[in-house]
Amino acid sequence: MRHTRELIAAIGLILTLSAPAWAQKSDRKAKAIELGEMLAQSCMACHGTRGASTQQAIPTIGGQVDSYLAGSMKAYRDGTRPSTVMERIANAYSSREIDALAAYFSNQPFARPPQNTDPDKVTRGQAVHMRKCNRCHLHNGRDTTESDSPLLAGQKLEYLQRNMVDILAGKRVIELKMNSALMEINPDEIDATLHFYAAQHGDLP
Amino acid sequence: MTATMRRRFLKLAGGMVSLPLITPLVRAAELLPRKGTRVVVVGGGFGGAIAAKTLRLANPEIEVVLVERNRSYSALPGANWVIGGSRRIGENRLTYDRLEGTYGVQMLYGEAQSIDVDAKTVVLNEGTLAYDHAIVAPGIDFRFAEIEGYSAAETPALFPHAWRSGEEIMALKKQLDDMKNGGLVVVSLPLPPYRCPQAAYERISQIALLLRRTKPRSKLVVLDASPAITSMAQLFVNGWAREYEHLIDYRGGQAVLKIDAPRARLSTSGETFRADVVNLIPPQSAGLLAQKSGLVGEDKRWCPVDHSTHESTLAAGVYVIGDACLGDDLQKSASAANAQGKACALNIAATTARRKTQTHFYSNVQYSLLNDRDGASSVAFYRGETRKPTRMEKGGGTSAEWSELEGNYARAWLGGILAEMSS
Repeated sequence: MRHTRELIAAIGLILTLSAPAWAQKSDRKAKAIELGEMLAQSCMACHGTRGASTQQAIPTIGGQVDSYLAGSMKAYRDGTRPSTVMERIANAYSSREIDALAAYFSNQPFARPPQNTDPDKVTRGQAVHMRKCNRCHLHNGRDTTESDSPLLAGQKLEYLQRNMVDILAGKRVIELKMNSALMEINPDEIDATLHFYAAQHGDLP
Repeated sequence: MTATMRRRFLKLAGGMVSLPLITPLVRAAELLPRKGTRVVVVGGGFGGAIAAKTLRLANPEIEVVLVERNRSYSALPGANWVIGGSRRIGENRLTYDRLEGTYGVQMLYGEAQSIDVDAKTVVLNEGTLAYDHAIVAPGIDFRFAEIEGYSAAETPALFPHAWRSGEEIMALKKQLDDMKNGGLVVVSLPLPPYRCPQAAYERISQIALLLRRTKPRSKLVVLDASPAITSMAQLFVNGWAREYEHLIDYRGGQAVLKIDAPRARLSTSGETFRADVVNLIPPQSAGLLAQKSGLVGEDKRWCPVDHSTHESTLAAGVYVIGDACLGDDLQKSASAANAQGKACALNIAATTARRKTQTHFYSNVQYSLLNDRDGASSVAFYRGETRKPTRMEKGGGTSAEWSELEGNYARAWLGGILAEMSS
């Protein structure tokens, strides 16, 4: 216990003495989060407290990757990502405000309560994930640091399925490598993979 | 409220009852001893409950007391769907147990009588609650006197309004279920501002759905005091034409002026109807608590607030949120109350921590169901940059058409907002 405290103090000292660029970036991020907090309140009525969705049709955005959240909002705003209500909502925010929203929500924990999934699909989906998706959606879709790909683990199943309908119908602009991966797997395998992501719950192992 | 506090409260309440003659003479006792900065929230509806939770999330140092008259809350949004048959009223009920258990909101079940602005206390029959800031979410009351023949005690049972609590929808539904095929239903709407006009047009759609399915020879006459539909007008016009063409007879500019409820009659300036079922939604004002606390403005109806903070312009330190506020005509909704509650709570938490407050920014997202499948939504954004409510030009708008997808989102919206305020 005492050692832990000393270690934390030592790390704190190192961080304090490190390059000002780091501090500046963190200061900018802190300001964005502060601005984002007020803007984010309206989102929570649907997307849940601090972005932890309680509804199958609505994605969890708390803890989601910063650049992915900002990119999605901007795509809703310019209509390149199809939506019912999100375009009308995204239109109300400036780019700076969208970045602040993304900073705020990405700074929250990604809540993963258990969901109803098909165990057989989960097993098959894991195999597909390892074969086709693993290189971008790292660590079973739980990666938080190494890529710009959205977190998928623990995301709401109904939302994932609805979103995949749009992707397969060519209504959503996606990366080429995602497109080619999808061409190589059949619809059953895709659905199984979504069950695999949705089935992951609880804290990171 | 801890067990000790509850015991103390009951003891105190019991003591008051046994000494009725002395009560007015002694200074009312503090119900819960205050330890630090305290915010008292009055009213546990869509605005108040989420304001209490948000305060505790934003700054757990703040003591938050939520005064609410009912232990179980029955929400009005989605209650219309019970008429059409796609929802059970039980799904609209919630309790405050998790606000208390998870977030440490102190619940005080009782009826706030008034706010004493000078003493900074909320006054209940049993005693008082001192506050540093008060958030008041009193909801609505009715201006019954404007309808000749209306009896506040007797008319609501005969001509249910079902406009204050979700539970009231059951009396209206029973009348509709008991009606003969070929009957006449009249729905009467007041002039805005009133609580959630869009919900009134949804109500009409859901009654029409029930009639079409179970008593298709019936008629539904709508007497709207407004000259035309005030929310999602084109969507309702098109949707009714498609789904309920020979069923709904919509008449704009027709205020109900006089009623004889025991004889099932109601009259506009030019016509008298004898109806089998009447859903009479009377004109409205801010809730009684606002009136008794001097929070109602010159119009004698609504509470004027500074829209950059939602602080009452008539009482410093008192913030009024939700339907009771004077604002945009279409702003009175569960969604707007929820968003105002959160914005207000964040800024009170910031002030308490000596941090900078932020401009209020919030959306009003209203979903409606046309039948048991298709939904649509209207969205508006507000920015509290001035003392007046500033509806933003950028963003917002209504759906292009009714869709099954938005029907799903309507249900998800309701599930989400109910979970947010109670868990």
